[in-house]
Amino acid sequence: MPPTAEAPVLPFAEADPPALKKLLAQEGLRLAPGEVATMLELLGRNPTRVEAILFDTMWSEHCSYKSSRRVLKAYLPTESPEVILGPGEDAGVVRFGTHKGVEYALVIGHESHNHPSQVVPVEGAATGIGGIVRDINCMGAEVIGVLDALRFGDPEGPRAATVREIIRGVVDGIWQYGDPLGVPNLGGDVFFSGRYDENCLVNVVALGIVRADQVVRSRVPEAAKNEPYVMVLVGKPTDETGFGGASFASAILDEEAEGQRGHVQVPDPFLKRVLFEANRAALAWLHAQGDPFGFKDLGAGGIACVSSELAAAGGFGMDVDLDLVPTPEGEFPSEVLACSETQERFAFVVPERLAPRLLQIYNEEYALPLVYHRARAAVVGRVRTDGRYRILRAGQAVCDAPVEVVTAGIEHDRPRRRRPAAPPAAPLPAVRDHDALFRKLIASPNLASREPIVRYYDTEVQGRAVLRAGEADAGVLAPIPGSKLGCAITVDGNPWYVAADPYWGTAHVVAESLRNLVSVGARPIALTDCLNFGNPEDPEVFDDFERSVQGLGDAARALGPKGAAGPPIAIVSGNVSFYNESSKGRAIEPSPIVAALGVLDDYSVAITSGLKRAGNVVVLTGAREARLGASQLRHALTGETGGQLPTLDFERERRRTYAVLDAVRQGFVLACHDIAEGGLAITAFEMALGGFASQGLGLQLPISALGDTPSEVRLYSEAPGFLLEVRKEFLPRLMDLFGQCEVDATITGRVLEEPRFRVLDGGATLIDIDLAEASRLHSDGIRPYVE
Amino acid sequence: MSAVLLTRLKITDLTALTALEAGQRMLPEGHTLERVVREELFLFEPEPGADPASFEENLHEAIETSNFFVNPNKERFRFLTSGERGDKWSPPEGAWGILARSRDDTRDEGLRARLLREHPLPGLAAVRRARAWWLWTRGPAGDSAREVFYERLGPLRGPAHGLLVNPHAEASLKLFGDVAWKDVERFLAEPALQPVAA
Amino acid sequence: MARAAVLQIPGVNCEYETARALEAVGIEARIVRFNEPSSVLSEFDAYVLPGGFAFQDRIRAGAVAAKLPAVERIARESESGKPVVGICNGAQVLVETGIVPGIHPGRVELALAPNRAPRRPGYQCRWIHVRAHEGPGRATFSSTLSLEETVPLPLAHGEGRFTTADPEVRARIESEGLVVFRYVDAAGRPAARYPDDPNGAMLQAAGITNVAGNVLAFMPHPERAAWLRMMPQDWPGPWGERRRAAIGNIDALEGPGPGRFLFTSLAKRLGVTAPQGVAV
Repeated sequence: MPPTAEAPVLPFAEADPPALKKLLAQEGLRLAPGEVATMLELLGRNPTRVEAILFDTMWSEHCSYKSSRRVLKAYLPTESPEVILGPGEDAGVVRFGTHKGVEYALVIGHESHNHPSQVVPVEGAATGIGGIVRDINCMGAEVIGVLDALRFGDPEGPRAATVREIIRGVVDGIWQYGDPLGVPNLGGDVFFSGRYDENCLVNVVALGIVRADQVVRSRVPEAAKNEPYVMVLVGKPTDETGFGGASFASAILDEEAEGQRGHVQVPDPFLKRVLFEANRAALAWLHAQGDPFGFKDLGAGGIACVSSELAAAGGFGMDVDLDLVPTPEGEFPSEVLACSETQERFAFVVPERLAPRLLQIYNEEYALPLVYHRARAAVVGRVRTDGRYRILRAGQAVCDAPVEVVTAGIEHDRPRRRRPAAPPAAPLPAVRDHDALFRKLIASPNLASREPIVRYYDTEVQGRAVLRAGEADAGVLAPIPGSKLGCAITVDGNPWYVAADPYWGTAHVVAESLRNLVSVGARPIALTDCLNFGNPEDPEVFDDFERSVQGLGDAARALGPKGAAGPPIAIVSGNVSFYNESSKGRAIEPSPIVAALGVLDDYSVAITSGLKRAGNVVVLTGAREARLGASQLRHALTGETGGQLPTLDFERERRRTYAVLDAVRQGFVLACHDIAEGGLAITAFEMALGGFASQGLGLQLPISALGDTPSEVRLYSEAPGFLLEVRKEFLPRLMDLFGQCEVDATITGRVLEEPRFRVLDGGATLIDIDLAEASRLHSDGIRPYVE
Repeated sequence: MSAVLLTRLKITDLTALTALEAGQRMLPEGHTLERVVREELFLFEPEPGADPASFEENLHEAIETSNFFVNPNKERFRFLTSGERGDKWSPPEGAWGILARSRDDTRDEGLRARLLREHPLPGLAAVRRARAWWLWTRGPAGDSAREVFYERLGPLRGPAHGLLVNPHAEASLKLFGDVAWKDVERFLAEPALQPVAA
Repeated sequence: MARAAVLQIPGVNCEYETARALEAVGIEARIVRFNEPSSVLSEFDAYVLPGGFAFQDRIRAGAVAAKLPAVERIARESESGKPVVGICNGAQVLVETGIVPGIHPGRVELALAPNRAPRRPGYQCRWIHVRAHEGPGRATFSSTLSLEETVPLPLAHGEGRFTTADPEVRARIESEGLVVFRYVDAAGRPAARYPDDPNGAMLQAAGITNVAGNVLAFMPHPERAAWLRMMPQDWPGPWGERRRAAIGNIDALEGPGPGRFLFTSLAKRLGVTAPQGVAV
C-alpha cells in the first residue's frame, strides 16, 4: 500500500533492532520486536500506522491473552449442563429457569481496571464499572447488579496518604458511576495489604438477565450472505479520550504515569443510562423484526477492534468509513478515530433496510444528540462477504487486510520456575489477653465492617433486592417480577492464602465462594475469575499463575454437586490482568478473584447471617485446625502472612457445602455464615452484630468442646466451615441430615436476649463485650480511610 | 490574607457542558452562551495574627505531591500565596462569573483534618470552599449582555429564571470584573447568610 | 381505571419499579418519555417523577430537569388538583420548579441541599424510619397509613436536606402542615440525630407537599419497599418481624411491604378499587 497523508506507512521491515526500538517508542507502541516480525509476516508488508496500532491493541495482554491462554485452556472447566455460552464472548451465559413458559438466562462478566484506578482512581474505577456493564448489556441482557473486589495498600503503611486517596477515589468512582446508572451493588470484598501500595486492584463483576431465546451474539450473522448488512455505531462521539487504553492496561505502572494523561477515559453514567434505555427499545424492536443481528460493545481498540471482531466472528469482512464516525468539533487523526477507547459506545450489525428505524430510536426517540453534545447513532460500516477488512478515510484505505490476519491473535509460552520454599513460619506467641486481641482484630482493616464503603452504594435500585451486600454471605435478587426464582452472587479472594500456596490458596477461594452461596440457600451454577498477577515474563510469577489456575480448575471440578465424577461448576467468563507491580518491580500478591453465581428455585428460603431469635442454638460444622498460615491472627500477632494453610479436603468440603445447602433449603437454619478470614470468633461476632441491621440480640460461645488446642487456635483458625443458627426443635433433623452426609456438627453457642458477645473456655471468660460498643469499634475500623 | 488555590478539570467537564446546553435553551433570542468553565476555589485562612507564609510552602508542596486537591492526570491548578495573589481577582479573558458558596459554613473541616495528618501546616485555621462559574456570553449588540445572562442563568427565582445557584442552599457573588480578594474572603467567611431578596 | 404517567427524564433510573408499584395497587402506569408530545401528558390522572439522577444531578440535583417542557406541563396539570409525586430525584425536580411548596406561586422557595451528616457528607443509601402527619396532603398520600405507625423505608441521596432561606416560607410550611412525612427513630420519636435524621432537613422533613396538598416531594423510596420481600431480614420492629416470619413463605414475601401505603393511598384518592388478587 503506498503511503498517503491519510495512511502513513511505518518502515518496520527496513529498521535494524535499535531503529526498530526507537520507532516503536516514537509511535507509542508496545509490540515486542518478535511480534513486529510476526505482524510483518502476516501482512506481507509494512503496516500503516492504523494497522500497527490495531495489532498493538489486539496483541496486548489485555485483549489477546497471549501469555495466559494455554494455561487457561489446559486447566479450567468451562462446560456444564448449566452453561449456554462459556468464555469467548463478552460475558458468559447460564441457564436460570422458567417463568410463565419463558426460559431465562443469567449473564455474568468479570473484569479488572487496575492500572487506570491507580493513576486516576475516580475515573479508573468508574470506567471499570462502565466497561463490564456494557459487556453484559451487549449480550442483549438487562444489567441487574454489580460487585467489586477491591485490593488496596496498607492504609497505615509508608504510603498511607496515597493509599487513602486511592481508596476514597475508587469508592467515589464506583458510586458516582454505578448509582446513576441504576444498577444495584450486590456486594464485593475489600482486602488491604502492603503489596498493593503502588498497584491497587479494582475488579468488577456484573450480572444480567435475558430471555434465553434473545441472547445476542457479537458477530455478523450468517444472513449477511443474502442481503446487505451495515454496522451502526451508537453513543458518545469518538474523540481522543482513552486513546491507547488497552496497551496502558497491560503496562507496568511507572513514574511516567503522569505523562499518560491522554489515556484518561471520561466515563459518563448519565449517557450510559440513556443508552441502556435506548438499547432496551432497540433490542425489543429488532427481536420483533425477527431478522438476525449482531451487537457488541466498544472497549479496547475502539472501532477497529469491534468491527474486525464482529466481522471475523461471523466469517465476514467489513469496510469501515471513518468519515461517517460522529466526533466532537475538531480534526482527529485516523488512528484516533479507529482505535480510541472513547467510552459509552456500542455497535450493531443489522440488515441495511432496518438501519433508518434503528437510527431513529437513538437519535429521535431517545434524543442522544440532546442528551450529549454530538452523541448519536450512525451507519459507519458495511459488511463484505469476501473476508476483506478495510478502514477508509477520505476514500483511501488506512487499513486493508484479510480479516483473519487482523484477528489472528498471538500466543507466548512463558517459562516458569518454582519459587524457593519459604522458611517454616515461626510459632505464634501465646495470647494473654483475649479481650484486647479481639477488640484489635474486629477493628483491623481486613476484618472491620465494610459499612463505611457500602453506604455509598445503591443496594436498592430496581427493586429486585432480597438480601443485600452486608446482610448475608451473598447478595440475593428476585430478578423477574412476580416469579419466585432467585439468584445469588458473591465475589471472593484471599491474596495472603494464594501467596502462601498458589494452588491450595486458590482452591480455598473457590471453596469459600461456594460456601457463601449455600449459606443463603443458593445452588452454585457457575464461576467467573479475574486473575491478577505480576509480570508474566518473570518465571516465578508465571509459575504462581499456572499453579493458581490449576487450583481453580481442580476446585471447580471437585466441588461440583457430585464431585469430580459429575459436572463441574463451570467457569463461564473471566479476565487476566498481568503486570501488576510496583515501580521497583515488586509484584502484588498473586490475586485470583472468583465470583460464584447460584440459583434459588424459591427465593423465600434465603436467609441472612444475622441471628434471629434468643434461645436458639448455634451449630458449628468444620473442625478447628492448628494450621494458622496466612491467617488474620498470624498477621495481627507477628505482622507476617506466611505459613501452612488450613487443610482443604475437597471431598469433605463438598459434602459439607451441599449438606448446608440442603439444611437451609429445608428451613432448619435461620441464619448461616461461613467461616473464613478471622475464623470462628469473627464469624460468630458478625452473626451477633447482624451486619445490615440489628435486633439487639447477643451470642454466647463456649469453645471448650472444640478440641484441646490453644483458645486462639479454636477462635481464629480459618479452617473451612459454617456456623448455623438452628431452632431447638429442628436440631435433631439437622443432626440427622448431617449424619447422613457424614458431616460433623457441634453445638457451639446460644443466642442471648441481651446484646453481648461472650466467649467462654472451660471456666474462663475470654471475651465479654457489649455489642453496641463492639459495633462502634468494628464500623470505625476503616472509616478514617474512606471518609 | 488567605492563600488561594484554583482548580479546574482538564478532561471534559461534563457538568460545564450540561450547563452550557441547558443555559443556552433558557436565553432570549439573539443571546449566545459561548463557553462555560467551572473552577473550584479554596481559600486557606491563617489563624488570627498568624503569617500565612508559615504554611504556604508546605501547602504548595502538599498540593503538588498529593492528590488532596488535584490529580495532575485530570486537573490543573493555580496556587497563589497571600503574597502572590495581589489585591484583586480578575476573571479570565473575555469572561465574567458567579461565585457560589454553600449557605452553611464554607469550611471543609474533613479536608483540613486529612491534610494536617500528612502535612504540618502551622497557623492554618481553615480551608474554605466555593465554586466559580465563568461565562463567555454575547448579546444581540455584540457585547457580553451579562445583566441579561445573569438574570436568566444566575440565582434561581422561578422556573424560567435562574439556573446556576439555588439561593435557598447557596449564596452568590457577582464576578463582573476585578473583585477585591478581601471581598471574596468576607463573602466566604460570613457565618449564616441572610436570604436573598426575591 | 385510573392512569398514572411515570415521567422518564434522561438519567432517572427508578421508572420500572415505580410503575410496578403503581400497577400493584390497580393504577395503570405508563412510562412516558420526556420528549413525547406534551399533550400526551394531559391524558393521565396522576403523575410520578421517579428517582434517579436526571442529567446526572449536574449543576444541582433537579436543576436542569426542572426546565423541561414536560415538567412544566405536569406543573400545569397539577393546578387542577391532579396528584403529583416526586420521589427522591423527582422531589428535587419539583422543588427546583417551585411547585412545592408553592406558597407564592411562580417562585422557588426551597432547596434540597447537600446532606448534612457527621464526618464525610455526601451520598448515602440506608434504611430509615418515617411517620405521617396531618396536613393537606394526608388525603392523597397517607390515607391508608395510621399516624401512629413507624414506617421503615430506604433512602438513597446526596442532596436531600429540605431547607429554605426564607423564614416566612419555613413558618408557613410548618403551620400549614405541609411536612406530611418526618424522619423518626425506630421507636417513632422525632429523629434527633444522625442516622435517624439522615440529612439535617428542616423540621425533620422527609416529605413536603404544596399548599393544596396534591403535590408531594418525598425523599425516601417507597417503591423500593412496596413488597415485603424488600424489607431487610434483620430489621428490628414489627415490619422486621413480618419479614422474618415470612422466611420460606413466598406468598407473604410477594405481598405488601412498608412502602405500599403511598400507592394504596394514591389509589384510594383516584377511586381505584383493588384488582382481584392484589392486596391493597
